[in-house]
Amino acid sequence: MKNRRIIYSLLLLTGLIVSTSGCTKFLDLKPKGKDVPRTFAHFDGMLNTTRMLQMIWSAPNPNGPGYNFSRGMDPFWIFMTDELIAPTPTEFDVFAKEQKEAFKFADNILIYTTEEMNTWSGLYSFIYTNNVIINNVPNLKDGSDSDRKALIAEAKVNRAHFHHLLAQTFGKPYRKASEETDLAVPLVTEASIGILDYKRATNKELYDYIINDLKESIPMLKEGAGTKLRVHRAAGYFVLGRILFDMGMYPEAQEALISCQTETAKAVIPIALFDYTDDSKSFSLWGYNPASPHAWRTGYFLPEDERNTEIINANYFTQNIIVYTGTQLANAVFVKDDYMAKFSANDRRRRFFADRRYTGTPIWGRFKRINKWQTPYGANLPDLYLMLAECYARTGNDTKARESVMLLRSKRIVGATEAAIPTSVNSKDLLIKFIVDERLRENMMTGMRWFDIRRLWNDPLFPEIKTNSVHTLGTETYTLTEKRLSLRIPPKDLRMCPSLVNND
Amino acid sequence: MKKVLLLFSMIFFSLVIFAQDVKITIKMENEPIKSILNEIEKKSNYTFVYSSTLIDTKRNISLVADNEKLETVVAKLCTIAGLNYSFEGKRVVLTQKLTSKEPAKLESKQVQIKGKVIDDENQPLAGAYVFFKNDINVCGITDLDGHFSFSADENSVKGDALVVKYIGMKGVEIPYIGTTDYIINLEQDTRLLENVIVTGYQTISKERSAGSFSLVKGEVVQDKANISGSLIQSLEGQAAGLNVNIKSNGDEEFLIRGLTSINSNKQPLIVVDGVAVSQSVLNNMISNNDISTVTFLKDATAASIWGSRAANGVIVITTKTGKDTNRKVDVSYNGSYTYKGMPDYSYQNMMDPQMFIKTAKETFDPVAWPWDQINSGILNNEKPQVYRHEKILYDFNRGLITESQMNTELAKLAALNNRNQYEDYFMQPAFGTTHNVSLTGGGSFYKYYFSLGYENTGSNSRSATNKFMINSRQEFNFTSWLKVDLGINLGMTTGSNQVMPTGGLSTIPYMMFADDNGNPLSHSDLLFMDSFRLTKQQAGDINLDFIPLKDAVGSYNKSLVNNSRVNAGVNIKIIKGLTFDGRYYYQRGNGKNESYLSRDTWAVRNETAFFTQPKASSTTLPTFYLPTKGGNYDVINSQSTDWTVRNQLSYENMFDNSKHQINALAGIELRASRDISTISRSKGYDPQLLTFQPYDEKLLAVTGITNPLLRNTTSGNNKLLTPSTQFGETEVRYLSLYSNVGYTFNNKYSINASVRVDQSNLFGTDKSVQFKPIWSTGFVWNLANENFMKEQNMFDRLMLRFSYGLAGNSPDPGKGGPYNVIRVITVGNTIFNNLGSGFEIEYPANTRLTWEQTRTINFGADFSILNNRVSGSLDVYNKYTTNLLANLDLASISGWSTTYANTGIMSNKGVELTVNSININNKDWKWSTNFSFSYNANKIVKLYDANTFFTIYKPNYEGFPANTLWAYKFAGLDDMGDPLTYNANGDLVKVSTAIDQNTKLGENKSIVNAGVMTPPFYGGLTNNIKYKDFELSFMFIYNLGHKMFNTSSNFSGRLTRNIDKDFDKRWRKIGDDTNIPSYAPNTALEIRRNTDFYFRGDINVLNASYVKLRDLSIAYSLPSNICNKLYTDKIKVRFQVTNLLTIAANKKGFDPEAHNLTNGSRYNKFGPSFSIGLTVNFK
Repeated sequence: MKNRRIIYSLLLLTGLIVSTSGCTKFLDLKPKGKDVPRTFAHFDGMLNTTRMLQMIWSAPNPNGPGYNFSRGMDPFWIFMTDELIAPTPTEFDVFAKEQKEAFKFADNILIYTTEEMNTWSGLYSFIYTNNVIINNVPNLKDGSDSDRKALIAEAKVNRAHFHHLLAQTFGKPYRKASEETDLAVPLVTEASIGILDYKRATNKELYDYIINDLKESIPMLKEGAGTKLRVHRAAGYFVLGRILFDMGMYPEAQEALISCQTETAKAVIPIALFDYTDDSKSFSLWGYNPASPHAWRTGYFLPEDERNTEIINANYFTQNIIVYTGTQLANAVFVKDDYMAKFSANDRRRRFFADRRYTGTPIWGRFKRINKWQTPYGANLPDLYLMLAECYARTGNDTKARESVMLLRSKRIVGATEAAIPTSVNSKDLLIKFIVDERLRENMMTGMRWFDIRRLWNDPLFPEIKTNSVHTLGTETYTLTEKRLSLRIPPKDLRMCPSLVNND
Repeated sequence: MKKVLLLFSMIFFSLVIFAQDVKITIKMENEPIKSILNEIEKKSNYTFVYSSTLIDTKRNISLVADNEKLETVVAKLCTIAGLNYSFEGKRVVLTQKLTSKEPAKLESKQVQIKGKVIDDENQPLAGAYVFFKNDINVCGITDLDGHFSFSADENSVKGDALVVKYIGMKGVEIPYIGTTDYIINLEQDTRLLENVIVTGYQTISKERSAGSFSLVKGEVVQDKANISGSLIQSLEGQAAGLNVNIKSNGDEEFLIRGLTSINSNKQPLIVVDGVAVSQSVLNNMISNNDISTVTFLKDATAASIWGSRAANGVIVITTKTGKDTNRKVDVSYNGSYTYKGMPDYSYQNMMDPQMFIKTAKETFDPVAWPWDQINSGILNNEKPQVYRHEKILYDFNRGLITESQMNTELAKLAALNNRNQYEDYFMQPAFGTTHNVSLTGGGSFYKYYFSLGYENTGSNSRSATNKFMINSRQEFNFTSWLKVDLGINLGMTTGSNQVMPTGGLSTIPYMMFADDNGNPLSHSDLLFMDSFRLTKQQAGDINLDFIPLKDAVGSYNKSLVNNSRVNAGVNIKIIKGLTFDGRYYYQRGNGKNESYLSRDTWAVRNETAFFTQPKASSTTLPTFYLPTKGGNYDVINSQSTDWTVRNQLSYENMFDNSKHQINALAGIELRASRDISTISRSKGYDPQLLTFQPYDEKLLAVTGITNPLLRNTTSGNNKLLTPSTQFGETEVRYLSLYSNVGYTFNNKYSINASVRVDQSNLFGTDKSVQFKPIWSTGFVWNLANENFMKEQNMFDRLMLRFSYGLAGNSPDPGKGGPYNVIRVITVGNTIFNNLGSGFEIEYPANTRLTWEQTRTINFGADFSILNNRVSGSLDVYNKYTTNLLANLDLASISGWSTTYANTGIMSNKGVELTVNSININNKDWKWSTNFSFSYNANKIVKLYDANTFFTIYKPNYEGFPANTLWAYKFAGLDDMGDPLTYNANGDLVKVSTAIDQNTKLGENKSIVNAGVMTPPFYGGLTNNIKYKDFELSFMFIYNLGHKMFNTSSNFSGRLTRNIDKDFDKRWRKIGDDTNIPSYAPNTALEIRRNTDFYFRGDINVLNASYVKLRDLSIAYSLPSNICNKLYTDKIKVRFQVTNLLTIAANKKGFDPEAHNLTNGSRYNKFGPSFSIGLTVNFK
């Protein structure tokens, strides 16, 4: 009797031991839909996100881990460019207080309810993801060597690009003479939440680092863009070209941009300028109706849309906050009359503007942007041609410069005579000024002008940049000063990092 | 249950003796005395105690009695048989009649007193305490087989009585009738059940555990749960330390001993029959009528055996088991009907039609909202929309109608009120019914309990659930050493929900749903202007009309949940004292939720319009990208699987004549839980033919449609955002090792210790972080067993307890650890189609994350005085939680705004008191009272949250209790009707920017600490009064000392819904005597001020304390002769009312249970609920 129970118990105990010996295996289970990044596909997939394409659009969730995928009030420099004008303060009231402060060039934009800026925290969150790739992919076993190198290179290009945009917002404009003392933004090269204090790199430290990174990485990138959603070699050269261009290093920029052009030619996806002069190939595709041009508000292809052939790499930011904000479309900010006059009569880019509500009711008498609310910031043809044109002009290659700018103008303006560069543009300086104006026409009321203002602030060719950087609001006027070319650092990080130095 | 006890202890308990006035009828001719005794036992429920050696029970005699009192019958029998008898409680002690008194022998003679103590299922009871009434030092304790044996001086014990005590059993007194082999049968005492504790791993005597426990008996829960509908809710007020926070919106939160976590798990663990279960399993599978006991494990010693999940306390539920009925089947029925009625609409304080129209006129502002904007649809994704009252006002404003025409039209609207139609067409009073039949019985080999339960619940929103539950519990005693128990539950819940009108259900009073003749009316003007709709209908060949009463016809929403669980246990006694216990549990649930929206619903037609391009001319057709016939059919299939395997060895023994008692157990447990779901969405579905229509999902999801008939987004193409198929799967696994050791010396001093280690596949964490043993230790001093206490008569029981231990909350699975955690991006990433899955980092690598640890010190005392008339316990505790898990602010430069981290320390200190008293106890009257009181003080000692950026909307700050209510210091209205507060200098200000939000808390002059939102004092008072066959029971519950906001919401902009009446008392012009801010027609004007300075101002802080007469129940048991005629043992009718009376400390008439304390919004408020119930036990 007793023997039997001992035998039974032993059997059960054996079962117990057997059942627990597989413990390690038992607990070695990964939840579905989530993972710890282990494989090449995991790291590679981190760049398959529209969030990183839509720069300044998403930020880490302030209420906890994860992303907060919503449009903030940024970027504030959209409100700070010289072509803008606003009607009476009441009508201007549709904007958030922070946006109005930006329009007034206030020192502290974030003095109201929030202490974070998407431009700052969003871009740094993308930098974190790219650092995860850069820090970890070298240790991976799977994926081919060239795939791994290309992925690291892509992440480094992204990291450089995001740091540059941060510096363009919060850092001092790049000046060779003072690069060792001018403060840029913190340079983050390690994915870690354990670093509790950060300090700002100088312009030299930052740009030496990212330019070096780019130069090392670009040859590793894949050739021949197969998709505009990811960075290929053409996009890499574009980023390098843009950074050097913004630094005022035109010959170096020119070299990178030419390489971009060469690489773009190898692209698998169709890349070509839209022909604005032929409605059937452009405007009518986008729902434009000549009978009610002011009612045309949507339909232009997003940069990430495969049909948008002007895009080489689909990074962009959106400026619809100054077009379509709050509940009242009608009253907001407009383009100054003399800036609107920069468009010739048959310049089709006029169609993106209207001086009436979409119902047809006239408004303030001035024009505002009504369509094409997404501004490409990654590699794109118009910007490539315009930057190249200016580089050629500045390095004295007049023919190439004219050729470049005409590539764009011929697709934008109806009639060869009107599209041609006026004969009055007959010197190197005038050509440079003409090309900068062309940039303005192409990017009117998109915020892109901000980067030119920073770049050309002390350029003797452009004294009007300072004098025109005045905003009127009813009877009040506000003037942009040099110190405000760098926005102040968001208060939260100043609070958390004692070593961060704020801008004046 | 006692069978599993295998533990021993003693309880001093005096019996309450009732008169032996049971009447019996018996007619037995020439039968053995033993048979006659058996027959009487059967009919009377009394048992005979006698010495088999002294009484010749085989002798045949005759006995006849016709409905005579038991005592008379027994007297008759004894006269015939030559016996003496005496009644001892429910026992009749038979002794041989002495023919003559023998002279007392004076010389001392030691005799051996021996016997066996068994329970009513003839199982031996180990550890029963047997002693002589007049000399308690002459005593013995039963061994594992129930035997006792000790010697006594024959002379001194003559005429004395043997007393037997056993935990959980009614004590008995048996006259000493000489040396014999006593067989002493003890009856279970349900009143004393509270003296054993079921932890889910073992059942131990309260006397030997240092833990803090509370126990609620099943029958109390059953009756309450039938009317409240929720088991957890019915536990309110029953046990000190449990705080049930009932909200009429259906949420209930329950906490044991306060809040120990801010961001991690806060709720206690629920255990049913030894296995941890989710709340949904509890709700869907366990019938309230099957519940036997509910035990709360509150401190570290009590709960640590459950390891990492026990930091918030544990609720252990046992269900009924079979019993030895000598093969008779006990059948009983329990049923109830409950009426909850309709919510009280007037409590919502909404405007009546006249006030609504008056307000509409007053707030109409064609400057802020120009007609051309309204007309253009710019405000509503290009869909122009105007409300009827606005239309009239604009018409007048634009000069289309005269003022008198306007007034006439508005008066017409003001005469309409849709509330009655709303209630008639879309609501119903809530009814519920429950029925439960149970069968129980068995013999010494096999015992069973079967029950069949049905519950039907209907809600105000016309949804109904039907729940069927089958429960079976069986026990097999194969041999004296092998026992197997098997529990099988099947549960099926079907539900159907009313499909609400898909265009919305308007609260605007004049929006009638049907005309006077009952013809349905259109509400499409709430969605689009008619002119716009007609144009679009024509251009897209789609009917866009919205008629609420016709909308949902043909649509349905149904759910079905099937659950089954098997819970098997094996118990093997290996050698003396050593037992193996195995528990094997498997639960599987399958759910299906179907939702069909027919083509008649506006939502389906509207979706089609999003993906339709209008016709180019009147002769062409529109381009449809979605099916134009059939409806949308969504099915969610879900499956859950849980299993547990537990193998455990326990050892118990005693040494040195019971001086040392030891019990120990150790085990290993594996547990897994897996949930899978599949969602599929079909369009163009025909429920009759089971067909659907295909469409180009890639085109609609990736590229979208340009130039659609209706826009669904402000920019870009219209895209289909929800994919047609979605999958989900989660699985968690645990491996645990645990052990528990107890030692008792001399029945006076016990120490306990337990330890447990849990490991899981908590993903992304490091194994080293997981290896955190949970442990506890405790000490009990059983004062009542001290010799010096035996002399006194005051205390029947007195125990002092002390315990200390550590519990923990692990970080949630996948919420972070030393590795980055990525998740698949599903939304908005269709464009990456050919590039592989997109991933985003959900949680950053975080090496600083560790367990939340709660240390608890508990001092307690249990007492029982005045022959157990008053008993109770008092506990004082200090819970100290370190490494509090919360979101910690990070510099954004790191890439993260916050991270989940161990950021603080929280303490909970409290006192709990429970007192039970029997106030009256005699033949006809019985009155008992049960009182519980809890006090909990919470404080966040430390919060490493660098965020000094202060907002009143955040409830947790260092140095203050969790859930603190912060309010602005209200300083009146200015001459624009804008509320004011103070800035740092004490000046009056009205915008948030003027308040220095960076000043330290307490220095900020604009902010007031208004108290806490969790009640620090709470408990219940229950009275049970029984008079003959009537029972009255009522319970008050109280929650005191907390605060809430007054109903408050700002209104600005267009009047598009019904709003709070108080808006009519707003500031309109200088001199108005009011604090309610003025109206602002649009947000642009609204930004000049912050209306929360009033709505969240100290002026609007109310006391949230309340006392409720939670329930009152009257029951009547039919007299036994009527029951007999109906072949029943018991018929009981019960009438219950809940929430008959509310006493709230606020003067506004708010019921804090129908109130959102944080923001002051009102929930539905119901009147009392009524329930009638019937219990029948068949013969």
